[in-house]
Formats: sequence, C-alpha cells, structure tokens
Amino acid sequence: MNKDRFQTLADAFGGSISRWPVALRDEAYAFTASSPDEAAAALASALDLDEDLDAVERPSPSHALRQAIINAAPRARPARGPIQRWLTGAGVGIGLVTAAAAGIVIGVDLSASSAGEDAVLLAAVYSSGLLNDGGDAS
Amino acid sequence: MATGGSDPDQELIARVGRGDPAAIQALVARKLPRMLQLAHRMLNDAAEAEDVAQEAFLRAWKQAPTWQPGAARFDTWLHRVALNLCYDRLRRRREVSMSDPPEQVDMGPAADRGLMARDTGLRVSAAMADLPDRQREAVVLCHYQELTNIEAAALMGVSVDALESLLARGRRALRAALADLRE
Repeated sequence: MNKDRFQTLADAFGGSISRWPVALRDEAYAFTASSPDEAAAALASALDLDEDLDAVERPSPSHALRQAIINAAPRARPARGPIQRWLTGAGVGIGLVTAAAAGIVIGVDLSASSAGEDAVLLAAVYSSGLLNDGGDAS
Repeated sequence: MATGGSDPDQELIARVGRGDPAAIQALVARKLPRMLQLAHRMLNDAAEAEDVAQEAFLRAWKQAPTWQPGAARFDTWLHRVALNLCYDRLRRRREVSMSDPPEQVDMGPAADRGLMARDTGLRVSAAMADLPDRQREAVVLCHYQELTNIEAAALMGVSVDALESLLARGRRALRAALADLRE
C-alpha cells in the first residue's frame, strides 16, 4: 500500500483503521508502521471529519411514533382452551341441527302453500265450466 | 442483496409474524432508532423521517407472516425499504422545487453566519443535505448505519470499488464544506 492509496482509504472510510474493510486493515497497519508520519497526517484529517459527523444529534423516536408503529403490528389470535374449543364445536353442531330443522319446517310450509294454491286453481277451473264442457262433449 | 450467513433477526421476525407482542416490542426497540436515523440523515427533516420510519415498519408488519429466511437479511431488506421511501420523497421535492423554485434565503449579516457556524451539528446536517444523493447515501450507510462496505455496496447495487469512490468524494466534499470549523 502506498501513500496515495492510504490517503484514498482514509478519505473513504475515516480516521480509524478499525472501521476500514477487514480485508484492507493488515496492509493499512503495515503502512502506518513503515510511514508513520504520512499515515498519521492522513488519519488525523479523516478523524476530524469523523468527529464533525458524530456531532450531529442522533434522533430519538418519540413515544407517539413508537406506539403508532406497535399498534399497527399484526395481532396474535387469542389461544383457545379446551372449553372454548368444545363450545365452538357445540355451537357448530347446534347450528347444523337448527339449520336442518328450519329446512324441514320451510319444506312442509311450502308443500302446504302449494296444496292450497292447487285447491284455489281447481275451484277456479270448476267455476269457469271448463271441466263441465269437456264432460258434455264426451 | 447481502445475505452474509444466518440472519440475527430471523427468530424475532418469525415471532412477529405470529403476532407475539414481546417480539414486536423488541423489534421496534432494535430497529426503529436505526431507521429513524437513516431517514433523518437522508432527508434532513424530522417529520418526514418519522413518516418514512412508520411506513417502513408497516411494510415489515405485512411481510413478517410470510418472511422467507435466506433471501436477504431482514435488516438489509428494511434498509432498502426505508431508502426507497426516502428516494420517493427526494424525487417529489425535486419535482416541487423545479415547478416552484424557492425564494433565496437571506443568510443575514456575516456575524450571524459566524454564530450559526458554531453549531457544528446543524452545519454538518446542512452539508450532508447538499451532497449528491448517492454520496450522501454511501456516507449514511457506512458512517451512521455502520454497515460494512460489502453490505452497503450490495444495498446500493454498486461494486465495492464504486462505493469506495462515492464515499471518498462525499467525505472530501464534506471536509471542504466544513473546513472553516477547524480554523
């Protein structure tokens, strides 16, 4: 590693070699040993900028932001115990039985309605004399 | 994207996906400050940074139940989401500024500027905001987010050499902009 390369790396990665890419550190430390003055000058300038960058206040999340994010998170379904599971099963069973019973009642009712409608239709036909006319013809 | 071995967040994400309240709290405690800092450094605006951090987490909550370990580290994925959101906002800002250029800001007398110069943090934030977006992104990822050069390059979709160049140019520009702080 020569002086220019060392300077470029200090410009890019800052004044602390421990924060440079791992693959470059051994060579960098070797350069500091062989050219301590040049290395120190390059690192000092980069360290000044590191300090300036670290002078910026780190933003801290507000409680309101934290809570808004947490409140929007996925919710776990509450765990169901054996009694809840039994009640759910029983509920489904009761529902099926009720639905079947309702079906029978509606079916019977529809049949009754249908029979009533037939009687009304038949009376209308008799009163119109259609059946009697047919009887005379035969 | 960098996969870099096992994902230290993998187990936590799986628990978040099942709606585990403790895991949700832990993930927010672990990632929210990093995401907020990332957005703040990229946008130099506290309110917009909060919006970006919140939106990034909303996307994480949607992703968590079906998160597939191995495709990318969760931290890398979350950085990418937040950066994309930042770039959307930076793009909108440019569109607005092109259609409606802002008035020139009066910097005040030289003595006042000297007073402002003492606040190093504000000066650095302003200098960061003046950097080209990609240089700023490189500095933010490597200096503030403490990603390795390989992770940052993968996140930015550039080679390690290109990242090094972006970093060097960005930091040199910052040093020039802040030179008077050292006089």
